[in-house]
This record gives sequence, structure tokens and C-alpha cells, in this order.
Amino acid sequence: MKILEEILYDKQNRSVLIKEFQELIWNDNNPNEILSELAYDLDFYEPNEEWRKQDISYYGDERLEEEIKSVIKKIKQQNEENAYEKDNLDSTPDRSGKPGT
Amino acid sequence: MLRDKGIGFDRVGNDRLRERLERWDGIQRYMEVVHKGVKEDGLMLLEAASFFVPMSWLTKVKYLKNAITLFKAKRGAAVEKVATKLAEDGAEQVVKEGTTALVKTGLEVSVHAAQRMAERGITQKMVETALAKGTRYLDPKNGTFNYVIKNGFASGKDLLVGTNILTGKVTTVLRGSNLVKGRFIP
Repeated sequence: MKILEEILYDKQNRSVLIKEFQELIWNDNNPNEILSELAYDLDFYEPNEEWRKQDISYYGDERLEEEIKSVIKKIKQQNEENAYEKDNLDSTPDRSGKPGT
Repeated sequence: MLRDKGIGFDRVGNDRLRERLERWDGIQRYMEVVHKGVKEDGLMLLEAASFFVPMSWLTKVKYLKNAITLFKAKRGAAVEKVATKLAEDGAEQVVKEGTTALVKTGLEVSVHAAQRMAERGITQKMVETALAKGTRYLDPKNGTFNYVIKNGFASGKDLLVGTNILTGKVTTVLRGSNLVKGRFIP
């Protein structure tokens, strides 16, 4: 999450930070699916305007920021849902009537 | 000539003639230094210029490196930064040249993809293998056909080659774990 925020705000080092993020994800044997998709999608980011014109799939800074913000939102949502499920599981009484552990 | 034979001007008796000879000799020495410098510059320029002569792009990189070495030796480390910048620009050109070379073999690769290939150590042969033997998936989001070879590398990582749906041009290459996404359509 921190590196994603760095990509958003450290515009000068964006390409290097993206590579770092991708390495982190692609070297992880069990990566988060949302982050894994983002690592792949970020491979179509091309900061050079001329090179970007070579294919329709490439995009620039504007879409990059949208993609990252959307993922940060999804991850936060996912974490909240997980926390909610965990809370509910913990408070579900077992057969003896005691709250679950 | 006299100087080369070890004959000094002090043997010339006429003061005025000796002075003129010494002045001329000074001009000659200065010209020699200038010519030497021009020759070195020429060599350097030749090394750099050979970059644009049609040849394999790897050979071009070799010539560019030689030019930088000459440049560094002649002008010192202070100017090395400028030379390095030139080399970086040259590398960019190499990527473009490389792209053209690939086009000639029938494989069209964008500059972006050629850069990724270089960074990730993915060869043209690997790309060709992925296109021939990989499982094809449609990525509806980015509008690409992705050819994936699962566990294609000794490390167990996958190879993914992204191509333009219409033109077949290679748009990106990836090496990593779990590269097949849920949204991909086989």
C-alpha cells in the first residue's frame, strides 16, 4: 500500500517505483489477486508520449493514477470486509452458548 | 626535417634567418599538436558515426562503448557524464534499431516491449516460442491477446507475451508468478 502511494505522489521516480512494485508481486508465490492484477496492468503504463502512440493499450499518468486509486480503495474495502468477518466469527456463540474464539 | 635529424637552429649563423626558422618551427609544433587532437577527435567521431552504419545493433553498442572509452580517456571523467548521457540516448536508439531488426524477421515489437525484453532478459526466441506454443488469452480490459507459458522458466515463473489483437504487434513481455488473471478469456 505504501509503495502504491509513493507511485502516486513521487512522479519523478514513478517508473522505478512501478518496477519495484512489480518485482515484489511477481516474486511472491501467493500474491493478493487485486495487487497482482494491478502489477500486470501497470505494465501498459508508458510515460514517453511518442512510444505510447505505438499501441492503443498503452496509457499515461492520468489513467495510471486512476488505476492505483481504484486499487487502494478496493484493498481498503477488502480489509474492512475481512475485519468485519473476523469480528463476526469471533462473536458467534458456539453450541455451549459461549462466544466463539 | 632538420629537427628530426637532430640539427639545431643554433648552427644557423644569420640571426634573422635563425629567428624566422625558430618561429616557423614553433608554428609546425603547434600544428602537429592540433593535428594529433583532430585525429583523436576523428577516431572518436568515427567510432560514434559507425553507430549509424547498417550492422547488428549489438555491434553498434560495442562501437558506442569504444567511442565513450576514447572520449573518457581524452577528456577526463568530468565530461564522462555527457558521454554517458549520449550513450543512454544511443541505447534508446538501439532499442529502436532492435525493433526494426525484429520487424525484419517478421516479429513486430513496439519500443515499449523491446525495452521490457531488454530489462527482463527475455529474448526474441523466447517471444517467438511463447507466440507459437503459449496458451492464448484475451485480456478484455487492455485489448490484448496474451500468450502464456506457465512455468516457462527454470525458476518456475511464467512468461507472458502481450500482443495487439488486430496487428499482432508485441506490446509487452512479462516474467513472473501467477500471470494468468481471472478476467482473461481463454
